Amino acid sequence: MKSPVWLARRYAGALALLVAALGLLPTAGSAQDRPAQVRGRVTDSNGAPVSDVQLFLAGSNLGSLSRQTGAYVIVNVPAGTYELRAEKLGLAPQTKQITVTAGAVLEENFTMTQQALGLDEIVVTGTAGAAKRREVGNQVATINPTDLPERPTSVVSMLQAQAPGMDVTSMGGGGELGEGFQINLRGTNSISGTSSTPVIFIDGVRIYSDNLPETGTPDLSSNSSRTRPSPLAMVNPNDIERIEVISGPAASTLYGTEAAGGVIQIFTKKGSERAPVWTLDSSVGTLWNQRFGLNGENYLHLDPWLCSGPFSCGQFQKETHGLGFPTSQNNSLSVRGGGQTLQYFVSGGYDNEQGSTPKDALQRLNGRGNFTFNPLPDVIFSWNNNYAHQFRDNTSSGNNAGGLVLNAMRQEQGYFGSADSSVINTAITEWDITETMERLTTGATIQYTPLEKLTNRLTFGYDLTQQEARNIRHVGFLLFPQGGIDNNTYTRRYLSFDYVGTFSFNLLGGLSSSFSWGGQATGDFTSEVEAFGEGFPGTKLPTVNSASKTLGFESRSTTWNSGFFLQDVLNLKEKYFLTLGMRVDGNSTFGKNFGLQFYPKASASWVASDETFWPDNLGEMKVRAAFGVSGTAPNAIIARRTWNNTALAGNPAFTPGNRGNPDIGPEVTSEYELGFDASWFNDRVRPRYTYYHQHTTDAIQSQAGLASLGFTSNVSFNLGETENWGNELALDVTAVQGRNWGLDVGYTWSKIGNRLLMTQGATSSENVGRPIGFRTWTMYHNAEGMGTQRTADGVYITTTCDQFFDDPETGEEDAIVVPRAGIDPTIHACQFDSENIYGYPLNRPSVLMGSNVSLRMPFGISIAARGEYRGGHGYWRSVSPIPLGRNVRSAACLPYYRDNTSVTVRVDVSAIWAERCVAAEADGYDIKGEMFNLRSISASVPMDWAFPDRVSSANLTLVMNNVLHLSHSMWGNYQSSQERVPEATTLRAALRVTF
Amino acid sequence: MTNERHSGRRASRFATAALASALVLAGCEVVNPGPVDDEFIDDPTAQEGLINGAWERMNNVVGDQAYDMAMVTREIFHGGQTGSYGQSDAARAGNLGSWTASGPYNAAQQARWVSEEAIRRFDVRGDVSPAIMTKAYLAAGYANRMNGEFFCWGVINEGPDEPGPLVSGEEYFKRAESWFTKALSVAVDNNSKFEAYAGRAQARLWLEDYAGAIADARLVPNDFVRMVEMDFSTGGVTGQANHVMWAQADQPFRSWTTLYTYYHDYYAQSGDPRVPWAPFPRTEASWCLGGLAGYRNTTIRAQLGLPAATATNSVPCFQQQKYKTRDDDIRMASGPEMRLIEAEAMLRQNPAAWPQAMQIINALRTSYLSDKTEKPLEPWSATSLEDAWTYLMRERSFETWLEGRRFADMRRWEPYLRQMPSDGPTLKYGRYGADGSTLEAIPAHTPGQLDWPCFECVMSNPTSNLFTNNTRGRPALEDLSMPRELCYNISSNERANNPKINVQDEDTP
Repeated sequence: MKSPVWLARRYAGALALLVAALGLLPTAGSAQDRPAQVRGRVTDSNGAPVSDVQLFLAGSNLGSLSRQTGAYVIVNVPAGTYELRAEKLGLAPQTKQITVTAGAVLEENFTMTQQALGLDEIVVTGTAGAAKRREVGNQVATINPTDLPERPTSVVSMLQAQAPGMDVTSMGGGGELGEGFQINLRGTNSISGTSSTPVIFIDGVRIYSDNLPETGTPDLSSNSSRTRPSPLAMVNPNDIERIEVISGPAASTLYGTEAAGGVIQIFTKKGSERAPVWTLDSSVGTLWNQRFGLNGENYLHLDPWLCSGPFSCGQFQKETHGLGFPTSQNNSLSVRGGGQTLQYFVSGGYDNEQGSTPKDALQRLNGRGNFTFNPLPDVIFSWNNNYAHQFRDNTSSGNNAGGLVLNAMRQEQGYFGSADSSVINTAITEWDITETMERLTTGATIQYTPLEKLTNRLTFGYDLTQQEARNIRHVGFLLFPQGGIDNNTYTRRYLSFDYVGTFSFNLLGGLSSSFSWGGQATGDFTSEVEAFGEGFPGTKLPTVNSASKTLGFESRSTTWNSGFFLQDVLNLKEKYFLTLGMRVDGNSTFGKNFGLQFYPKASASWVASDETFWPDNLGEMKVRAAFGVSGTAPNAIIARRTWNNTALAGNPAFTPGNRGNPDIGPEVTSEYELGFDASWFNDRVRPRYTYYHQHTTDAIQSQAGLASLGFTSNVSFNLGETENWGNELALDVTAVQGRNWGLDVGYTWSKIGNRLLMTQGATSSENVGRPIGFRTWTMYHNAEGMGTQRTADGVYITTTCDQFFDDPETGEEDAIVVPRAGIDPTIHACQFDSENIYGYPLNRPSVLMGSNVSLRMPFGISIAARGEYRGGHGYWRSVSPIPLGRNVRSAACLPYYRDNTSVTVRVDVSAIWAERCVAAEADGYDIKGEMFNLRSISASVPMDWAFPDRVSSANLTLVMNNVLHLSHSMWGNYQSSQERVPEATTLRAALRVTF
Repeated sequence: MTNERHSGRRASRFATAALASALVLAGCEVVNPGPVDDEFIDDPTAQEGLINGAWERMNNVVGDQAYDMAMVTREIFHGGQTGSYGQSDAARAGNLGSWTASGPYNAAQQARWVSEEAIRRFDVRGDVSPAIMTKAYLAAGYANRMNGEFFCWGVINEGPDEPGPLVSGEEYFKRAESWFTKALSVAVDNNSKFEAYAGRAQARLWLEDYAGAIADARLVPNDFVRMVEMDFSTGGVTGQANHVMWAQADQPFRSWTTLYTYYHDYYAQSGDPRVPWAPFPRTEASWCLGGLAGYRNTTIRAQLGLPAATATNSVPCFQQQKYKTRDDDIRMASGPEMRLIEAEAMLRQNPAAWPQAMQIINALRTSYLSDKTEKPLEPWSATSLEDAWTYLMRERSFETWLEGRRFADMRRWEPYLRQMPSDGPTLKYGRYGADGSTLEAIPAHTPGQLDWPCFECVMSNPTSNLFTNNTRGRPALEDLSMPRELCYNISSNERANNPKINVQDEDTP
């Protein structure tokens, strides 16, 4: 039992440090003596400046950060002897003993050396406890925000094209603020589509990372008027220290069920035993739209609501914003530091953004407090907290009868029956679509090390995401004059417990063992409460209570996943590593007859460059191999047989619901991967290569129930089998490395393949051997004409081509069309042939490439660019953006109409234009998904000269995002589906000041 | 060393507790709230809910199909909308199109299955009150009658005692008759008996038990009505809405119009309150959404006194007045329909008695007051059996307008078939013959003329073939690879996944 006096002494320093860090007390460095300065320059072995190096005097709270030019200065240093340290992630730390005399200026320069492969760097994700990178037999990709010169303003832009095999796709058009996205690692390994997305942790706490649901409109139609927002978008990117990505079961076995799609772990910044470092990030910007329509209809009639260039906006965009164009600002302030017993990182952020359409706006507040506390010599207690609040205002978009985008695109054949933009604009003025999101993530970790060789770590995590979506059509709204309101509150909670213990011991000679054991339990709680009302004449600010007719809905679900694992790492001479492990899982979604699931793993790594035969001048190299198994849980209520209380006229009405399958278990995916990490030519060339192969058994497959037996809902079975494989390469090259000039080039490439090995059902057996969820290079016919995938009996009747045809008039590639009456099909159209299908591309990219170039110039100025390529897949593009099926005359089709008033197309028009312009209800194409996006161009300029010496570092960065988009579809941006607006080009000026 | 040992013990206890917790949690069972567990359905408090469930399924079929079929049967004219709440190219061309669709098949099958499942469960209990049993039998009767009218073929495969698995539509009527008879054996209140008699009369008409149909129909008074409830507003369930009304509501759909239908001009002249329509109150709503390619409305608009539309192909929109809201119920049986069943059964049983049938028809007709004159409607004057059939079919179309019944009526009456072009597509209709394998045509004993409008004729563009061809210029029937149908059939899903039946080919039942 420690005495109160002891405790007071122990924590007084920590509290003083915290208060000082928050700026409430003068710093300890303000001594009576005349202050001295320590200054100098940090360079690499070639003399090139190294920025963002932490330089601090150990034991004091004095420190600084190296600037873009490598220069640093520590001011107000009292006379004395110090240990001056220089540290940066990825570089070998350095220490110097210095003596400072009063009033003097001491110059100390550092030459930092890179930890080429970072073999002794600690990684956490996919391992039991922490592990040195040299031990790990699988690929762990690390994203370091300091390597991203474009200063991302969201997590999604930190992930895009950053790791091989990672595909990030927006859920809507991409152009709405806060819009959700889907992350996919190594393609699709599930038939049901319920998996193939990674689980995400922040500081060891499992979080809800799927997109929040769409909510209904105030007419209770199922068509949402907004995009699904992402809770990940609420994470402040400036809080992130690093992101670790493991891509498949070979690495994710210890996460068990739900981890077959990989794991992403975000680590936020922590305090450290050093001087407080304040960082201010502030940026301002604007945006505009790239064209996404056809010639003559560049924006598909949305021109009045968009901007066609910087500061050049349509009528309603101008009217909405005080400056006449949309603006954005992102601000963040943080401080990190600490003493021996308490380290802290505290941050706050405020974002205010205006979007691509007039009403699209977002405000976000974000606060974080991460504290590390050492209450006892053998105990470390970490408490990480994040609260975020976001308010989003949306323009009505999507396939919604009252929406602005739909009615603008359909003109007089829209539901407003008018092409008058002022009439269509009432979809904005008379309709409020807002949502308030809150997110709280808190996690406490106790690390207890009673023996040098025994470590225990216990983490409790709680993640709360809540969305209140309010959707109000005011009285007088054109389609619903009496007004309507819908309020949907969606709450998702994750409660997680994670324990891991590790005991290390020596066996024989150079052989040692590290044995780990542990368990996790994760509860996932969902609730959704919706209230609907209509008819509130006279009420300007209605609530549901204001309505004359109201309805309420509620749904809830809970799932628990729990498991335990064992793992042993055998280490021979720090060169050879063998890891063996297993996990056993139970999950509340498993059928009652199923029981527990077993997942084994094994991996090995060999640090070849540590061998005596390895030439010193060859650099470093690690060879690795891993095998592992993990799973995907079934849906929450698949196992049970239930009925729905559908209700009729206020009375109970039970109708067949879920037929249930008590034998249902998880999909089980096994994976092996082989690869190497290397650093060659004096660390100038750094390749990382991985081959992987995944095999999923017991894939969950749904079969429609038989109406003749009452239950028509799909029943899920563990029936299918799939295969998934690919190659991944990451290559970083330092092409030029001089004192004033430097050129770095980065490149990632991945090739993904997959196919269905076994499936059930008469109509789907023909899909065996084809990619999962494949597209077909044809156009489908069925009873309704085109656009539906199968005929009634499941047989594909298709048109095919030996090759893609280019449009003879425009040169547009890859349009597949069918013969039209009166047109010779051999001239412009593909042959009608149900036997000879051209091919079955994947429905997601099978080739992913990312590239970045960074040019460093004198005076610390640098220019960088980052691009992304996605291809090797097909996607279906409807022509609905030009709603010809609604008989809207399209400007693009004017040359092809028979006369000046009708929508009838001339008979001599080529087949491709006939298909585009003939009024029909659901025409569409499978087209090549190949696209290139120049994600960012940035230029960074040091601004230290504008600030006093006390400011460690100041930089101004000009960034353009989504600068250029190239794709095969002339119908529009590849993302412009379902009456959405695609991603806009943004221009920002971002200032970062560290002091 | 001692401290290390203590620490080690603490650590192992810590680890053991954590592992034990994980294992306990791994075995825990979670029961999510919301859905009703199967066991609860056997509870007495769930009995009425189960019967209501059958009616809810009937609601889904009738509320939706009354609209979908109206285009095929020419009760409505296409407004141009093909997407949300619109009508497909196939329906515009008079083809059901999705005749093996899962939607109507699933809901209709579930209506039958749920009601009969209720009876099975109630029989097992043996203690269910007569009132509840009556409701269950009535629900099963109407569900089967509805299936019989909508479906030429079906699947009944609950067990070895059942007639299936593959059954003809006639089997539904037999089951309906049986359930109604059982209802009558336990019913105690008059209204339940009227429901049973009315339903059994409907079934017997199809089963050609004309004497039985007449006997049952005569027991049902004129003011009787059995509705299937439409219920969008209290449940907020789209499937429970009256789609006839909702698809034509000014806001937002206006998908169809009464213009060019037989009823449009007839109502303008007669004011028959059974087929009312009116202009939309809003001037801007005077044209339907969508527009028909090739339809030139300029002249017609002027003739009708309508303002010019912004799009030249917009169809003038006139609104039915039978249903005012999307909650308006739809009739399953009524006293007036019973009068017409009496008349039709008489015409079939004894054609020479057509004057007596006309008396019934005119008595019903003149019981209505004209919306125009507020006087009784003028009676029809028939001079032959053929006239009598014409007036019977016409009156029945007025009486059941937009109730989803004409679809089946046209299958039962032959004139529609005769009016099809001789070189047109093969018609599939009929029933199994005595040997259970061959398809027999319905006997040609329904003369008279059907009031079949020529939609093609209204296209002022002489080259338009919008009502026979699809929008790509190919004949709709040929392009859609299926014959013109007057009934739904076994769904594609049931065909593909039910191993007990072998009906993969659409051309075989």
